[in-house]
Amino acid sequence: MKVLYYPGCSSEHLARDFYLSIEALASFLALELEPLPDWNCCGAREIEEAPEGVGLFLASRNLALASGKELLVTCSLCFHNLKRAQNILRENPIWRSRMAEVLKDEGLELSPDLPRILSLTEFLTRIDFSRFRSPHFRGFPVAVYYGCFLSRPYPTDLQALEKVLSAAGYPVIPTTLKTHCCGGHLPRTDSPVIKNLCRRLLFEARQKNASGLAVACPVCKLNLEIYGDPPFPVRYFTQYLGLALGISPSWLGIPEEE
Amino acid sequence: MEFGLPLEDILQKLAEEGYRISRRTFLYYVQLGLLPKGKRKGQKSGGVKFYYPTWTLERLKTILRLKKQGLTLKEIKKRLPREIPSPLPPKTFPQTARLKDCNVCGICGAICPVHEEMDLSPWRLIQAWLEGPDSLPSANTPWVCVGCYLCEERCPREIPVVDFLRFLRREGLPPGKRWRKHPEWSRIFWSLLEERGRSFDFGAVHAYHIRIIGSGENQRLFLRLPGPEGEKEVSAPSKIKNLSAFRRALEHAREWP
Amino acid sequence: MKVKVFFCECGGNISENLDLKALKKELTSSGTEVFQHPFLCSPEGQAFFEARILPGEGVLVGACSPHLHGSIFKELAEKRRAQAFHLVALREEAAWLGKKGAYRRAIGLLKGALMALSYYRAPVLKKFPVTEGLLVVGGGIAGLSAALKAAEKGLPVYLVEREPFFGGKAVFLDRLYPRLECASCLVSPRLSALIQQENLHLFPLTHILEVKGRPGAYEVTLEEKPRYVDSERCHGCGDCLRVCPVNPPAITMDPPHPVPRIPIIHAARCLHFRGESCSRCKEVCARKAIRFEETPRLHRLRVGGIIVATGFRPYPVEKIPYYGYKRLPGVITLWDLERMFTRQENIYGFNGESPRRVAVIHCVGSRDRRHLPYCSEICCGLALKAGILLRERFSAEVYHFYLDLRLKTPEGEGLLRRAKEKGVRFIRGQVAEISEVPLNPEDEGRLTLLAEDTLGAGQRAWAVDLVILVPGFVPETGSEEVASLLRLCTDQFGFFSPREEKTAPVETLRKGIWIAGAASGPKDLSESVLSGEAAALEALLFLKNTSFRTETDWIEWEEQRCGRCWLCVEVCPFKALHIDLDRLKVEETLCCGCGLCASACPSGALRMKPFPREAQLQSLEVLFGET
Ligand SMILES: Cc1cc2nc3c(=O)[nH]c(=O)nc-3n(C[C@H](O)[C@H](O)[C@H](O)COP(=O)(O)OP(=O)(O)OC[C@H]3O[C@@H](n4cnc5c(N)ncnc54)[C@H](O)[C@@H]3O)c2cc1C
Ligand code: SF4
Ligand code: SF4
Ligand code: SF4
Ligand code: SF4
Repeated sequence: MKVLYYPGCSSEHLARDFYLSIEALASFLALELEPLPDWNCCGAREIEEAPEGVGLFLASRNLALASGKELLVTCSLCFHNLKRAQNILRENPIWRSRMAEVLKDEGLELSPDLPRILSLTEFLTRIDFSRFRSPHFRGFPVAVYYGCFLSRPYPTDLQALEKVLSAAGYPVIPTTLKTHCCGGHLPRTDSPVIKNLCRRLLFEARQKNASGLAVACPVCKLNLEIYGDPPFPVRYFTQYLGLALGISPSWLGIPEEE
Repeated sequence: MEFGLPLEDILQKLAEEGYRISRRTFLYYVQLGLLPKGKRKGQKSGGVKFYYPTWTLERLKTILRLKKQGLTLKEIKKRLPREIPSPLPPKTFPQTARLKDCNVCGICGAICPVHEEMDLSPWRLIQAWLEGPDSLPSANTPWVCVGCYLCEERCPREIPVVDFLRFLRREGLPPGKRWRKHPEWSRIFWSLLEERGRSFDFGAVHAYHIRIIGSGENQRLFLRLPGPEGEKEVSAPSKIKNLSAFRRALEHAREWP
Repeated sequence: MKVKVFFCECGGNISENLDLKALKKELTSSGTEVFQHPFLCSPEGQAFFEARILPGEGVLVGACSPHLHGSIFKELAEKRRAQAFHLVALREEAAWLGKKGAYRRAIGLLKGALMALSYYRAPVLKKFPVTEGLLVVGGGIAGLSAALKAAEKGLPVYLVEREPFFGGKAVFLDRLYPRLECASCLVSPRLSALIQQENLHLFPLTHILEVKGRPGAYEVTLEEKPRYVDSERCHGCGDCLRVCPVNPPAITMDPPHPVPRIPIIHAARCLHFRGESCSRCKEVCARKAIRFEETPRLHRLRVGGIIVATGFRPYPVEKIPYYGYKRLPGVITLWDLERMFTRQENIYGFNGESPRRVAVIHCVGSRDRRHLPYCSEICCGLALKAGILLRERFSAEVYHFYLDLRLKTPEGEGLLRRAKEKGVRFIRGQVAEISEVPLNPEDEGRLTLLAEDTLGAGQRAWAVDLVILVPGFVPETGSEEVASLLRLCTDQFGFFSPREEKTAPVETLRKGIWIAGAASGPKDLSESVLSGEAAALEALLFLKNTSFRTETDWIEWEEQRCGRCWLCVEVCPFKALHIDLDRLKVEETLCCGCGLCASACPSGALRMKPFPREAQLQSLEVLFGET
């Protein structure tokens, strides 16, 4: 099966391990991952500083490249930006015609058939992981964390992580802060606020006796790893899935020494 | 509410930058249609002043530069964009009517994860805006907001808090009340994006921890993560195919306010 | 027929949005005589109106809704032997819809009405006998106050209560706002009066199955669920309660002062009904009152009128996930607290110890578009009561989180002063979240509460041991069924609507049916008693007459034309039509002449007599022509 996906800029550095694990999973499951040809940056949080048209253009260009298809989006912030742009294009004919005009500069066409945007979490619920679980794997309790952009304002399936991880053999510990905020793109890294937020999230996981926290967003993972105090194992949910399927940690971007 | 400049300020700013032009010449240019017409505004002291859109300054500089190159006013007029842009539309928030329903319950402030970093809770800005745009205090709130939408999810009156903060950040606040969060990072982000069509997202988190040396093909990027790893060199983002068309489109997209 | 038109300015309500002068001019120019009065319903207005009508003339009134004062004008016109009468709601249908277009709407309505008047045939006033009995649905404080008053005046009263015991919410309250007097001292004397009153027939564990008939002569079928304890034999010793091996016991007599003083067996919990061989209660009962073989019983009653007093209930706060109710220990509602107090249970905080710091949270779900977009008016006072009691009984630190304190009467203000003197703290800010995960690690073992102190320094987090949620109120479950059985109107939230909020607060649009207590909107005890007694008065006025008069003869059925589709029967909102051996029968007291059936009838077999189809069509044409 072919899957069109939007890797996003973080795939190249920050979330290299996320993408390694996604690719490892895909090859294990015999999915053909095909990156959106010639995709561009979605503008991250910086588009909030620029006129509305800029952010819409960056998203529209990707939407035009994927028109008519199903587009899998792996980073939550990209997911948010693409969803938001798509809603605006659907509801606001003025922005729609403006974007159509701008895209003409690049010889692209904004077809009325916008792509169906799918988060990685929801996409993976289509797969029954219990069938692929490695016989040697012994699951350990994990808590899950969705963060903001998979929860609001365009909510995805907020049981998706629970579904796939428990199918893969992990007892999933219910938590209450799974859709709270990790501090995201708070512009100051020396702020105690972000430390408090991350500490609180990890506190709950520890309080409820989880042995690890499964996340779905590059920024969440980075924040939790850097500011989570005391440290607590945080991994992409795809890495946990890979371990359950028996994929070697190094293929999943998990450093040797751990 | 429009933030034009009075004639005196324009002349003074020009003088500071080394251009010399008299009041009479200025008005003459207005008469010729080289510069936009000013707006009358009564002063508290009793007199009347004329206010000109802020872009008048840039336009005047261009005129003076072209004049220095020896062009006649007629030629200059041809060179300048023909239409004098109409003054910016008044900056209004289209959903102001919904803001009026705010209960001042404080939930948006209470649930906001980054509340401690904010000068003022979102609802205080909403109330100030309803009081009249001039009452808006200078506050970092719109820039500190990380867009988590928790406030909107919980707000009992379904107030579009995030849209409102986005509006303040983009256009609602006059230049004097704006808050630049990390100009250096912003510059790097956009320059990479324009050069390659792709950028670094994590820079947004680590605004102060990215360094670029050199330019073009000799460009080298360094990243410093807080923690023991210290600084490490990383490769620049890969490029998209037709960059010049991309750049053209990006410029085009900036046109609308 | 000469027609005279009367405009009422309605004290500005109409004249401010509608240019009556211009209207008058336009109508006068086509030869109609027009009069105008600032308050046509006032004594002077009525005299003005009456004096200008001559026998045989037609009268058209432009005023407020016919529900309000329509009958006044109609009766006056009849008294003056006017030949035709019609009323146009200039206020509701033109002025209140906004200045824009008001004039065109008004002129269209008036000209259409003038056109229709020429067809007018007056309905016929008829007398109908009234049966004396009164049915009261709901045995809370409102229902029993109504029942007691009516029975005292000699009416046979049937009091129907769904639960096994009478008294409603009030029997589970500990102390009462605003004076903190003991609740059962106020409620239980009324309850004991219930048993002593001879004219009162009590039906606990009962609900209405069916209502037939008409005002003045309703036939009601009730179903009484089995209690499994014979009320004739049982004398309430309570011996059985002590032997039941189930936890919580399957045989109970819950309220502190139960009326009736007869236990009930809950079949779902009882071992006997679950196929085991237990019969301990039966064995211990000296009066041989336990009867496992009891089955539901039907009762059929004939009553003249019905009072609906089905009450309210607190908003189910488990619908607000971020408050953690039913998930977090130490998060309870005021209703839970009241019952714990009345049962003298111990109260523990989140960590299982006696609470040292308590948060009382106002407006839970209230004024929230996603939950209750309204204010329930009484809850601030109830919350304050809880705060004071907790402060007094536990010497706990008590924090109130409120949005606006809405306390009525000097007593309410006095209670607030008392709370402040006792050191209860008040924080203006709505609570955004209650969580077991602390913001500061040192607060582990307590509940973390997020709220912004909007009047103070903006403090955001509090660590507390016990949280009392004070939600707003919604109608009691099952009131929709009652509404549909009795064809009553409710507001958008399900509370029963009165005929007119201010001047007829306990009457409904249905003759012979009244509403009382919190069923028509949140009320505290005194207001509930007040409306219960007001409903009893209305019922007495209606039922103590042996008959009532009402307008009839609104519609006519042409048997030959009728295709027997019975759309009319389905469409009638008053259930006034029924089929009798292939013929359509109109229940005259129920039909109010709304005309829906005539407009639904595809074969034109139904004819509205006062304003037949031709009249309606012509006036619609005029209306659309004008607007
Ligand atoms: C927690 C709490 C604290 C309160 N504290 C105070 C206070 O301090 N001071 C004060 O003045 N007031 C207080 N009140 C308010 C007071 O309880 C109400 O004013 C009063 O109970 C309203 O009486 P009611 O008869 O209208 O309704 P209810 O008490 O609700 O009684 C309605 C009765 O109708 C029955 N019923 C419902 N539907 C049907 C049906 N379909 N068929 C048959 N029977 C039906 C119900 O079982 C119930 O017995 C408090 C209320 C609550 C919830
Ligand atoms: S949560 Fe909503 S209603 Fe409450 S203060 Fe904020 S914006 Fe206003
Ligand atoms: S969206 Fe912004 S203002 Fe609202 S809660 Fe999140 S960070 Fe705070
Ligand atoms: S039969 Fe037994 S279980 Fe049932 S009520 Fe009696 S004692 Fe309780
Ligand atoms: S006129 Fe109205 S109330 Fe009368 S029978 Fe027809 S629909 Fe029913």
